[in-house]
Amino acid sequence: MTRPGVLAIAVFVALVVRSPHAQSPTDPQVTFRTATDLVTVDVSVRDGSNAVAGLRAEDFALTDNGVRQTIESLDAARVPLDVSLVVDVSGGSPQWWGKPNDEREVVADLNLMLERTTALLRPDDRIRLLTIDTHVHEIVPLRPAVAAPVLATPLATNGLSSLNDALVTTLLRRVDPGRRHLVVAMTKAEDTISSVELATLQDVARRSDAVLHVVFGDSLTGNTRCVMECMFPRQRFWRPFQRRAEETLSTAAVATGGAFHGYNAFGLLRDFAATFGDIFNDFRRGYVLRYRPQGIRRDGWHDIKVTVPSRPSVVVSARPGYAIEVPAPPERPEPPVKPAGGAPPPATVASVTAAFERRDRAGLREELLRTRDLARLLRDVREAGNPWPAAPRREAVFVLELADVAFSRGDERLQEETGEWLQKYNDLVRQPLGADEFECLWYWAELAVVEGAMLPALGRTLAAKAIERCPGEPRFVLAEAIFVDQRWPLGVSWPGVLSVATPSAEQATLAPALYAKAIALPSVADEARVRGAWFEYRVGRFTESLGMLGPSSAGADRAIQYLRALLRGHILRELDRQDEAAAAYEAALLVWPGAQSARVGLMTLRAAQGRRADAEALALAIETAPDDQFDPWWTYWRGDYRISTPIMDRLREAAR
Amino acid sequence: MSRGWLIVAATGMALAIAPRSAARQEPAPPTFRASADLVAVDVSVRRAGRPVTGLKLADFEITDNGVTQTIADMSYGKLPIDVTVALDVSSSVTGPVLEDLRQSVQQLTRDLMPADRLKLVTFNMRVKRVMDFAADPAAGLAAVRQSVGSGSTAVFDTIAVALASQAPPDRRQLVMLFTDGNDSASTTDLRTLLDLARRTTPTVGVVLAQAALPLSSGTQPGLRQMAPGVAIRLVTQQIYSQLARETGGIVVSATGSVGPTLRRVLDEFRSSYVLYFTPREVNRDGLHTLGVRVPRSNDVQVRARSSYGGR
Repeated sequence: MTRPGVLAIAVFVALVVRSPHAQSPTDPQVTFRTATDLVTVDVSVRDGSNAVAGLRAEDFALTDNGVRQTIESLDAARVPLDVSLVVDVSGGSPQWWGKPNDEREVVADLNLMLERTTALLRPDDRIRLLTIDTHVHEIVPLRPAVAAPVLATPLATNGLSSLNDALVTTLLRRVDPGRRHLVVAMTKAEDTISSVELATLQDVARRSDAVLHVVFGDSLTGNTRCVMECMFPRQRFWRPFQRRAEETLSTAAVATGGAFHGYNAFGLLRDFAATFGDIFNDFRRGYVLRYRPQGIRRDGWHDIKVTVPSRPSVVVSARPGYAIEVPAPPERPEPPVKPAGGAPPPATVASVTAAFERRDRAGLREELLRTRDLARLLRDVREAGNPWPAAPRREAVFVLELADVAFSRGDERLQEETGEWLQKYNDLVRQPLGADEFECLWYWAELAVVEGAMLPALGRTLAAKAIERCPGEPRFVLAEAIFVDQRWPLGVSWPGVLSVATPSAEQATLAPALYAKAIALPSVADEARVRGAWFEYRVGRFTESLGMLGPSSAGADRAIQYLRALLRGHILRELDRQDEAAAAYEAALLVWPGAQSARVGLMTLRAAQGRRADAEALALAIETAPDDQFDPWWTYWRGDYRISTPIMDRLREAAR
Repeated sequence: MSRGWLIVAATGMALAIAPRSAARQEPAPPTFRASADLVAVDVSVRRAGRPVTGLKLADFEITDNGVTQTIADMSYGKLPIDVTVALDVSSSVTGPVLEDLRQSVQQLTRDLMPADRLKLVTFNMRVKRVMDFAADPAAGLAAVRQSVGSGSTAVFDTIAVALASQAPPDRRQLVMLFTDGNDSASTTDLRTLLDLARRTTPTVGVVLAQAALPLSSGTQPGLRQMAPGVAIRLVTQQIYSQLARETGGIVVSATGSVGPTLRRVLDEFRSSYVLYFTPREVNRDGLHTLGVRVPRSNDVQVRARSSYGGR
C-alpha cells in the first residue's frame, strides 16, 4: 500500500521493540530465546470503511521473519496516546493552507486545531505541537490533554521549510512503555532547508516507534486564493534547495503503519480537522498485539505480517517490519583476521566499518595508516553511504575518526577534501530544536581533531559554527583563539624575516582579544592565560606576557601548571632575570619531572651562563630520557587534541 | 658558488675554546684563561668547490673582535672527528626514507677514520640518543630501522642538545642534521639557538630531504603572498643557513639518497684547516667576532664560524 488513496481503508500499526531483559551484547548472532524481547505491534483492521471491533488475540496470525509467533496479549482502545502535531507554517510559499500568510491568522488556526484535537483525547493522553519553519519549534511541549493550550504571537512563520528535520526529530522521540505515539503532520510536502535527506527520513521511519500520518496541504488545482503571491512570492526569492516529497512521505508514513492523506476524491484540499478526526478514531480503534519473538535471529531487520485468517475480507494494516541493532561489545574487540604469515589485507570500506563497530580505535587507525591510497578509500566510504542509515550521528562519529587520520597525512588536497566532507556532518548532527548534548560534544570532538591537525582556517570556520550552536561553551571560545594563534607559523621569530615571522595585524589584535574573552570564563581561564601569555611572548611583549600569566592557580591541571612554569622561565630569561628564569624551569620540572622542554630551556640558559658542565649534564639527561617520558609542551599547539581520546569516547557513547 | 643562496656557508669549520690539556671535569667554565688559553678555529678554503690544500700558516689572517691575532699553530686532517648524526623520524618521514637513512648511516660508519667516532640521535618532538660514541654501530642502525615515523618535529631543540653536549677539546665536533621539514615542536627559539651556537664548538651541517627553495638575502616582502607551507619552508631554510653560517657549517639538499650528501658534508669538514691562536688585546668576556682570510688568494672561498664564546 504505497498510494495515499488506498489508505482510505487503511489502518494503523505501530511497533515497539523493548528489551526488558536484554541479551548479552557480546553475542550479536544469538537466536531469540524466550522471555527476552517484547514486541508491540499496533494493528488496524477495517472492513470497507468501517473499523472492525471485537477481535481477540486468537483471531490474529502474526509472523516474524516468516515464523509464526504466539500473541501473548491484545489491547484495544485502552492504551494511552501521545499525539504529536507537526504543522508547517513556513513561508516557503506565500500562503498557509490556502490562506494569506498572516501570523495572527496562523496562530488563530493553530489554537483552533489544538482545541479540536484536545477535545478528542482522554485525560491520560498527552499532546505536543511542533511548527516547521527555518527551524523546528516545539511550541507546546508534551503535556496532558486536559485542556487545550492557547498560543500567542510572536510565531516564526516566514522562513524556509525544515520538514525532514521536523519529522525525524519527532519520529525519534522515545515512546514511554505502555503508551502509543501518533504523529500527524500537516505539510506542503516541500522541504527547503533541512539537513536530513529524504532517504534518511525513510530509514528513520522504518525504525521509529511512532505511527506517522501526513496530511497534504495542497489541492489538484493548487491554492485558488494564491494568485499573485504564488507567481511573485513576497517572502522568499531564494531557497537553498527544494525537495518535493509526496511519494517519499507516503512511503515513510506507510513504513510506520500510518498513511499519506493527499487531496480528496475531488482533488480538493483536505480539511485538517476532519482528517485528523478520521485518523484519530481509526488509531483509537486499533489493536495492540504483543509477542515475544521465538525461533528467529534477534539482530537485523524483521519482516512482520499480520492477518485475520477467519475474516479474509478485512484489510489488516501493520507496519512491515522492525530492526534490532545489536550493540557492539564494549570490551575485548575481536581483532581483524590477518592472513597467516603475510602482510595484513588492504583496508576496505567493510573492514574499517567493522573496526569502528568493534570499537577498535587503534585497529581502525592502524588500518587507515597503512592504506596507501587513503583518499580513494575515503571516497569509497562516501559513495557507500551511511552504514547505519537510521543513525546519522553514529555515521558522523565514524567519519570523524576517519578524518582524524586523513588530516594527519599532511596531504593538503586530502585535508581539504576531508574538511569539506566533515563539515557536512555539522548539518547532519544538527538538532533542529537547538543543540543538544550530543551536538555540542560533536563540535568539541571535531574542533579537537582539527586543532590536532593544525588546520586553523578550517578550525576558525568550525569554531564559529560551534559557538553559534552552543553559545557560551568556554572550550569553543578558547578553541577560536587557538586557531587564530595557530595561523601564525611556528618557530620563525627571526628578525631577518619579520614580514612572515610576525602575526598579521588581524592576528595581533584578534588573538589577544579572544584570549582575554576566554580568560573571563573560569573553566578555561588558566589555560587561556598561559596561551595568551605565550602569544605576547612570541611578539616580544615580555612584560605584558608576564602580566598576563598572572599568579599560579592551584586549580589548574598539571599540564597547564607545567606550561605556565615553562613559559615563565622563557619570559624571565628574556627580561634578563636569569636566576628567576632558572628557578622557573626547575619549578616546571618539579611539576612534570623529566619533561624535555624545561630541561632544554634550563640547558640553554646554563650554557649562556657559562655553566657548561650543567648544560652538558642536562643534554645527556635529555638524550637518554626513558621512552615513556612525556612532555605537555608536545601537545601545546594541538589544543584539546591532547584530550581527544576521552572526548571521542564520550561522543561514541552519546552516538549509541 | 653557483647556488650561493643555499650553500651560503659551504665549508666546515669548527671552533674549540681549547685549553688543550684542561681537565674536562672542571665545573668552572672552560673558557680561556689569560695567555694560556688557546682558541681553535676550523677554516675551510675552497676554490671552485674543491678544497685548497697545501696552505701554510702564513697564508692566513685571523681577527678576534677586529684585532689581528698571531696564529700559533695549524693542522690539516690530523685531529679525530666526533660526528653526531641527528635523524628526523617525525611523521612525515616514511618507511623508504627510514631505510635509506639506515643505509646512509651504515655507509657513513665506513667513511670514518679509525679514530673518528659516531653518535646517532633520532628526533621527532623527542630527542633520543640511539647510539653513543664508541658504541656498536649495529645497535644504532637497528634502532633506525625500527623507527616508525611519527609525531611533530623539534629541530631546534635537537640542535640545541647536540650543541650543548660534551665536546672533548682534543677532537673536532661535527653535527649532521637530517630533516625533511620545518620545526613544529621546539621550545627553543631561534635567538636562543643562535646564541648557543655561537658559544659552543660544533659545526652544524644540515641535510634537507627536499629540494631547496631559492633564498634571497634580507627580508622577504613577498612571503605573505606565498602559500603558508612554502613561506614557512623558505623561512626555515633561511634559519638553517644562518645557523650554518654561525658555526661554519653547510646546508645541502638530498634529493635522492641521503648517503652521498652525508659523505659530502663529512668530507668538506675533514678537508678544512684548524688554526690555533691565543687571544691578545681583547676582552675575554662575552662573544668574540671572528674574521678569517687568505689575503693572497682572491679566488678562494674561506669559511669559518663567525664568532665564539668567551665567558
